[in-house]
Amino acid sequence: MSIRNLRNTAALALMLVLVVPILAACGGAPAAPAATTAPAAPTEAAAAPTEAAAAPTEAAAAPTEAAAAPTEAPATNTGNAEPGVLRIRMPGGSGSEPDNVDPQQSSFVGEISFIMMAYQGLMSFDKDMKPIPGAAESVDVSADGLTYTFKIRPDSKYSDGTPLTAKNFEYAWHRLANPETAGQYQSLACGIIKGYSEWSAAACQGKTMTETLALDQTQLEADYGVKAIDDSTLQIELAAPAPFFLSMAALWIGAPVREEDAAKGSDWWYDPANYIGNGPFVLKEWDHGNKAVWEPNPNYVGPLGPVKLKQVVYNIITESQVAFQAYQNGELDMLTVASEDLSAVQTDPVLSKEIVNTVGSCTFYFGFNNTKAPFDNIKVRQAFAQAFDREAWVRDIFNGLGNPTQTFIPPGFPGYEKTDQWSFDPAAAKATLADAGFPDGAGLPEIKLTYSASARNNARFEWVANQLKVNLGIDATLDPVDPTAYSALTKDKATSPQMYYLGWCADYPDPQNWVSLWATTGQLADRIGYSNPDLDALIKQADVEQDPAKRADLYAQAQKILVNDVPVVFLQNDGGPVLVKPYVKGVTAETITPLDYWLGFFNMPNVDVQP
Amino acid sequence: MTAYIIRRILWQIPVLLIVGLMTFAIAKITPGGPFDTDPNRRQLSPAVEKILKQKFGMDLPFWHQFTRYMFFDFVENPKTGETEFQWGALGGNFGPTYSSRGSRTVQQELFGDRSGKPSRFYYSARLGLQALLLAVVLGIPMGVLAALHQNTIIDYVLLFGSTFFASLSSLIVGFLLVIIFAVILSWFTVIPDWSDPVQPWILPTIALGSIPLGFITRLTRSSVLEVKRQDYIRTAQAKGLGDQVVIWRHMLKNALLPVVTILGPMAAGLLTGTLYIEIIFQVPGMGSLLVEAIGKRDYSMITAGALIFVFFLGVANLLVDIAYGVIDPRISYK
Amino acid sequence: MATSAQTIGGANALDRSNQKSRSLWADAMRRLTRNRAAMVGIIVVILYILVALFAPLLAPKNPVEQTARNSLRPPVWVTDNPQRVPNPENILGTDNNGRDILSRLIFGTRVSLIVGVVPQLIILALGVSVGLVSGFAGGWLDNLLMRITEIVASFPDLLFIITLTVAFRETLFGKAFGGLLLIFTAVAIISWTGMARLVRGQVLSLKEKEYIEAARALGIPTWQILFRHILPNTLAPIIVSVSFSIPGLIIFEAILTFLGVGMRPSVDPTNPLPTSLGQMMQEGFSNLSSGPWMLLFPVVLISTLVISFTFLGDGLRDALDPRDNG
Repeated sequence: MSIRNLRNTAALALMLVLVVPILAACGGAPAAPAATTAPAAPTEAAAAPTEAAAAPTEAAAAPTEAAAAPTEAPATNTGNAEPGVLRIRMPGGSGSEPDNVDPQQSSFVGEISFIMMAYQGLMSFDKDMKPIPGAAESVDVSADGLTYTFKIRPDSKYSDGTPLTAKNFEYAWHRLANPETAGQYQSLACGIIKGYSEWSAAACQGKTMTETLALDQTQLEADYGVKAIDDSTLQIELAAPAPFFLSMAALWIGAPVREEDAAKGSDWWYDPANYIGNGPFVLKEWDHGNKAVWEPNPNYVGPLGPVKLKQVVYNIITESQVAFQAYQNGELDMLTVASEDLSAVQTDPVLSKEIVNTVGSCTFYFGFNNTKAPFDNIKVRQAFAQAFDREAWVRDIFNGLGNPTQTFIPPGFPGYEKTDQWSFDPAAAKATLADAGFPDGAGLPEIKLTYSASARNNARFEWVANQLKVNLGIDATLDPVDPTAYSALTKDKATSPQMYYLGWCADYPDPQNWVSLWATTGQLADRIGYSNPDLDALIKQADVEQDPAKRADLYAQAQKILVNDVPVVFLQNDGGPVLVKPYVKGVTAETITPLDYWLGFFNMPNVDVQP
Repeated sequence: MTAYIIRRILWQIPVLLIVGLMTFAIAKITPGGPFDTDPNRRQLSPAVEKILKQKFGMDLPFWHQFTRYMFFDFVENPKTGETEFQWGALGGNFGPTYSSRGSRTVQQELFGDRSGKPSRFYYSARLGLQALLLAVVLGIPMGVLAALHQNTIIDYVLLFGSTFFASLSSLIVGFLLVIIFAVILSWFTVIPDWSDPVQPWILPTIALGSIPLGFITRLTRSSVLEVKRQDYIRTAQAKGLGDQVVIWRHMLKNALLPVVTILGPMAAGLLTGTLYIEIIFQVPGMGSLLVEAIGKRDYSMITAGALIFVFFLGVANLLVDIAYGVIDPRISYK
Repeated sequence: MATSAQTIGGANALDRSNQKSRSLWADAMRRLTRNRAAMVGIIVVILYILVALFAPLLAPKNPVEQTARNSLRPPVWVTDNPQRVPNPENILGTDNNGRDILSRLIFGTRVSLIVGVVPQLIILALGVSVGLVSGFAGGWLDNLLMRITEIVASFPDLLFIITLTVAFRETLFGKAFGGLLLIFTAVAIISWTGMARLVRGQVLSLKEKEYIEAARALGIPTWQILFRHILPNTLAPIIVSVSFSIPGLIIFEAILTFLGVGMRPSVDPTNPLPTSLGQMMQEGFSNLSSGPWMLLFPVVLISTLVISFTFLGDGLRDALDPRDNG
């Protein structure tokens, strides 16, 4: 062997030495295989991830290094936490920057959690999701349930010190209905407030904008049911009794945007100087694409104050793995972890102590196109409902992030009716399928499972297909579709896929927000072509019923029909474990609600950070 | 030369138009629209969707939408009923973004100030230039060194070192850097503080630069080897010119050609932002915005992204072609 | 690679007439076998090809078989965590669906090799011919072709692929080989431009060289100059570029998966192409904290493959360099 050959061999050896530790470090987090020499203590394996991850780089040289770790008591990493400063990831799932935070135009979770920091509606929610007075001091409902009179809190001010009066709320509620606003949630109040549908003719009656604006705007505005009687009294007249209206008055759509701010152009909200509200916080700085910094509003009056926190920072982090690292590194104080990370969290001695269990506000389900074979057959749908192991789905695929459910309204929400009508029972499922005329799946057309394409969803639906195979003997094919195209497909029963995965999240805590969607013309039933006249009749009656007990009973009956008809198979609610640093006070399982814009929002006066 | 440059610039006009047309058309025919976002939330009522479509001119015939976007149009204000002249992309107006419900324009989002902060374009361009600089400053000497020591351990180590990071997805490389330097060593924070002029830039520059680095190193090595054996180098060596002079004066100059070629598209790509690096290091740049725009079917933003990219690509390629002439005077443009 | 002894000889004859004529391939082979790194590269690539070919024989399990209560098992030698006991049947552990990682890796190499190589052929054919013509013809044709490459290069590739996958979702073209056929075609259509510009740059420089002018003066037909004298001399940068874009394509496939437009998932136990290394890498990334082995193994395989291609490419380049007689 020549010298040159020898050198080449050495180079290759060097390459291997280089590549192994680097790749091992790439495994990164706890329990990287390279760190296996560490002693068995279960607590240690995932100990401080920093140690485990550090180990691989030295693993080849000194495996004993890792062994030293167990003597240190595991403690959370406080990082650069400061007293009174709450640092969280931008709420709203994807962690990305809200596109528009104009209250009368917004519709997404991230946008709403931005708005509700700076503004407060007439009403707010308590920890039991009951509507309580917010900016209003009190509310008076007339006996016929048609007139709501709100008294604004005396001496209410905006964060810049200017007075907040009933006129400001009048402006905001008028702005919501004004056809020129053309907000995405404009249709929400159609038919509820008196004169709303007439004025907002484009959104409520489907007229074109030109036709709508050609109507007598002044007259329509004058006929609209929202009026400031005086500086402290706002009167809202409804078109029909709507017992859920107080919840609706707590939503972002009625946030008191000032006329002088909104007049600064369509992107008035982009500059924090214009984003002046009556909410618990003031937008101090908005570094777009990076972070938003909030400071307490000294003029705030309402149930969310006085605020102990000195600052809240919304960080824009779109990749959940990065957010998880930031949390572990002490740069975030709370985090909703991705389901994939949960099993690491649960076996980690530090992180597992920081788990707080939450209840979700969404329900996910398998939708069937009720107009297409074989799912036009109720027996087939029922067989699918019985054949699905929801427990295993939540346990194995979501690692416990969420809770299995068999009904639509999530537990904890008013109107929740527990049922176990469709508990997992493969034998019964097979019998029902045979009953439907397809013994062992014979004779069924091809079953195609459509879902929004992503790496994460691929693994999930591979699991589902496997379930159908094992429990019903059906060979389903998987059909991932680009998320936006998927959304478009699922909007209409004509294009709606045969079988697909979807969810619904609460707008406001009232059964009307859930059950009414399944009336023939309701938003969800219409998408899949489901219709049941009995259900329609019950919903119609319940939506306007004044007596709470009677109303609850009507919704319960409606839900029974819904569950029995299986237009869709309800699977699970969201919620489940989230991480909260131990030094964050006031955020516990008891004090958080499914409606929180961030965990503990409705327990704001008690939330504090004390590292 | 001047005539050549002018001709090249004129050529850019049809290129811009065709790219604009094709991107606009493809974006429009892709199923799903700007109002089909989160399927788990309340969907827009068909009536509201109709209003919004009208507001954005989506009810017009395709050619009309395109000319409005690209050139100009007379737009009727539904409120006053008056007709107003409005420039299109060629006049610097890329239109309102759909995701902001029309309240912000594309040029505001990309180039406008973010309330006193530098624009998104600034972040992407600065990061891209830094990464390119890093790759060139390290890659060319590494390539020359590897070529001069062909098939020795130096060669192998340099090649391996420069290729290793490029052999992984930048998602993984970026994340690896975060774990090592921010989590383990605590030299940086996972969440960047962009008010610091240096700190937050270091890791993303390294991560982004590592990809072209491998390519530039290997390309330089390859061309140096090529040139090394050409006659004039041999002649120069025979004349007794010192090793260093030979390398730097003759060899490098000729070896640069393929490297310079590849720099053009590379620069355009790096300048307009890179998705993964922006995601991992939370850089408020253009790349993530443009990719998100595809998911949101933000037609004006998508088309603007393609137009801006082709503009930079044209400029970069023109510069490259001029550089050819400078590096190798035998190449002439008539 | 239309090179032959005469080709190189012809080029050499003008500048180095004393060089004894030896077969190019024999020369190249000699140089290649002397290059240890390149040999290792070749061996690794051949190993991968063998694994890909004989995947069904090598894989201990079916790659799509999901076992209940067997998810996220660590590799067998990781025994330090009593809550995570390895299953001796799954040597490299399991993923979050309880599938055997080793078997998936073995099958995954198939797709990754195909993804890396097949579109490359289309890219080569398009890129080299456009580059040659453009550089050699010059003038308006050059200008036109280069502007076309700019148009294609600035095409939003992602959008293009999304559009194609959605548009052809229900057709045979969209479904063939788990959607891979469509992805190949789309990727090739938008990726040849770099190659074209690279070749053009080389040609621009070569065509002014003395021997080309001499050949012209001798009245050798244009096509002959093009194919016999110019093309062989552009081979080196082409090979480097190809050996570099193979890994690029493998990674691009993973990016597409990340964005939800990659290959279709499959639960069909008879599917010859059930997953890819890129897809496994992406899945591993999301499971980084809970199952680092899910990321580690595909990453090791991909980077080994990529680096092997790199060394092989460099070795080939050196071996094909006609002037290297060392």
